[in-house]
Amino acid sequence: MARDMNTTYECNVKPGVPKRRQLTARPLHVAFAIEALHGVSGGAERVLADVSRIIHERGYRVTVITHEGRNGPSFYPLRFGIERVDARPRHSRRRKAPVLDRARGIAARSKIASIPIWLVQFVPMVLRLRRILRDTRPDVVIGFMPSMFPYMSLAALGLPVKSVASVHNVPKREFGADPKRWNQNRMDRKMRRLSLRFSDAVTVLLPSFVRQLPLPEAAAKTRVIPNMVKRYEGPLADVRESPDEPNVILAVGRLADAKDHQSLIEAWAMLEDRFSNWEVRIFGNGPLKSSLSRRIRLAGVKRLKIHKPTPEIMSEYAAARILAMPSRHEGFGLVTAEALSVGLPVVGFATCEGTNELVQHGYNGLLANPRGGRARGFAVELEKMMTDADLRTRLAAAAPKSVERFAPEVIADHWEDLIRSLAQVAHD
Amino acid sequence: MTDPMHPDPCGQIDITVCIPVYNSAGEIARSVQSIITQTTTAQVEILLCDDGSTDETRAIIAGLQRQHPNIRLLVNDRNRGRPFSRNRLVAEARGRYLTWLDADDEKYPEMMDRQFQMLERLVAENGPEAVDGVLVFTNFHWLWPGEDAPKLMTPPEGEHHMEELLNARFGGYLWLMMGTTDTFRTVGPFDTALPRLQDLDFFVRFVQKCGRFRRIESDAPQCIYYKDDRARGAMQVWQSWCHIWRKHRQIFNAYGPENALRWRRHHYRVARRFAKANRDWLTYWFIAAQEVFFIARARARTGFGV
Repeated sequence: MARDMNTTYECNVKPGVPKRRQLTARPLHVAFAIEALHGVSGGAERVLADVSRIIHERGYRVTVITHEGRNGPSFYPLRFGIERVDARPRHSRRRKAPVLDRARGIAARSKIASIPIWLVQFVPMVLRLRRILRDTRPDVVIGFMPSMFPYMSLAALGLPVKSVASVHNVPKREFGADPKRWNQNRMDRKMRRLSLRFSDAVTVLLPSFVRQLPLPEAAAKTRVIPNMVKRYEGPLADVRESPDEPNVILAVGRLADAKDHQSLIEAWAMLEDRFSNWEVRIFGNGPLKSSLSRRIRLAGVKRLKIHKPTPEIMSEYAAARILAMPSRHEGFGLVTAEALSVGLPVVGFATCEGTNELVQHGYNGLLANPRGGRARGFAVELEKMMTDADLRTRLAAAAPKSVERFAPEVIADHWEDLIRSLAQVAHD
Repeated sequence: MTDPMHPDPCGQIDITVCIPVYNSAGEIARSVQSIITQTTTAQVEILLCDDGSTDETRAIIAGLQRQHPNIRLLVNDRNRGRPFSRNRLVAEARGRYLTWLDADDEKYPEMMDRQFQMLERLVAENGPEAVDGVLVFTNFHWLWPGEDAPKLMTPPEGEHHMEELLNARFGGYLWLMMGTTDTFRTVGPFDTALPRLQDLDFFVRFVQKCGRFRRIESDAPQCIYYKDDRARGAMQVWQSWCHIWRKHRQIFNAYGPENALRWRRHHYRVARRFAKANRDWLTYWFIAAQEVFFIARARARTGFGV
């Protein structure tokens, strides 16, 4: 009776079959690891929630490991049935010592002092992660971003678990070109690069990112797995010019230096007088908000407004005519991809990684050349797009198809393929 | 409309009420009656599992079955413990939703209707996925033997479910909960090594798998729990607490050593309370001695007071 009971829903242990033979039939166990999920609304956290959901729906056992010490609910809800483990003890006694922290930060830049500082700071974390791996025993662990994968790949050393380093931004910046990103400890930067060697696989978002990895031999075990872009089910954007209502050029993104909204403001200042029934709406929040507002006032433009981010952004895309994407660089360009899925043509920069992978000049958008000045180059392409209604319609028609390769089931296939191939290696 | 308490045998069952029973001849009729008198219009199935009772329980249930065809009885071949019965009940439940009742407790007439309406509203507003991993609970009355007035208990509906479970602030029980039958199945079977505290173990695993508790919109109590520490082996309670501590040690530790040790001391207190109620002084002093040893060891290890 007990055996019948358990087979109903406990697990796939079949009566009468030796247990050893059944082990191969158990569902693969995949762990996704990220530093924090509670109250964090970033892009990578969203990717983790989406990917873990689909992988779990496909019958895998999924565990999400964090190291945040809060054990609170995830900002992006995880699917019911996914196990959540927080490796870091909460309320661990830590005295507030800003001066000491500052001194440690300075010392961490030196060649010698950075080593003991790194050891004290990160060895406990690696040991905690290792204990979690030993307890939960996943087949594959996927570490998201440089705040997790270096330590996770160290923690997995010698254990029967395959580790994946998942990079969710431009690798050049993640591995040291931007010293303010991630931990500034010298040793940590070195470990970040070294961890690519320990990892069994690496994922990047775009094909051009593979050659940016600091370890050339890592290219062989690197997979390009872009972000998911949900299929848009609503009515597509109507990009024909309307004489009655304002024709909107939309810009969406954090008000930060990398997004370069300043070039858009300057470009619009060159065009505004000649396009009386067009206006620009920027949706975003961020550190440059007051400085951008001042620039708008100084430029004297009237029909360019900054709006707060909205959860209804898809309907904003659908009501717009053009997406302006003046970013210097993008980790993937989710905004661009979402706009394209709604049938909105995009104006971006040819030098912006991310944008230049998603937008093909003359097919689903226009790419500006920043050489003669970013604002001037952007204004030229924007003007072309605003004046030529046929061009806009043609680009808009091609847009949704151009992002079909990022459909959730296609991307989930990539992840599943990676997980299966690693697990296969482990079994062989 | 068909009578919800006499559902069409071919029709869809909305709610299964699962009742594990063992030697409950005195209380079972009252408990089942509290389901029969529910105001809900949902199709209800009452599923009992008799765990090898040696008193009149089975005869009383047979009598109830003659009056109410929606009562179904499972019988264990011998006394196998409550977790085993619970597992059978979950496996056999046919309703879309599942709720519990212990043989010595009562639901007030509107309880199931309010819980059912809330779940249906969540489905109507956000689709069927909205009730995946959701357990809807209510406030309840708690009555100690010898007391006239029951005490109102209000488990909190915070967002830090796990912490509230471990520090015993939540104080919820299975019979307060209604959720989809699949939710109960996804969490996995009840731990047969736990003669007591199956609720806590289940809830910890439920929250670990990203489950959420939602309270119905009303603050009014919807059921009554006749609390009685007597005739319940204190040693059994103590062993169950130890099992919970060992099994979920990693989760306790995730809240830091200070909290883990403070919450562990609560386990000692509850076990001692049971021993005291049963005048089992040997067990009482055994647990007290262990607690002293535990505190001394914790102080020696960590150097802080607990």
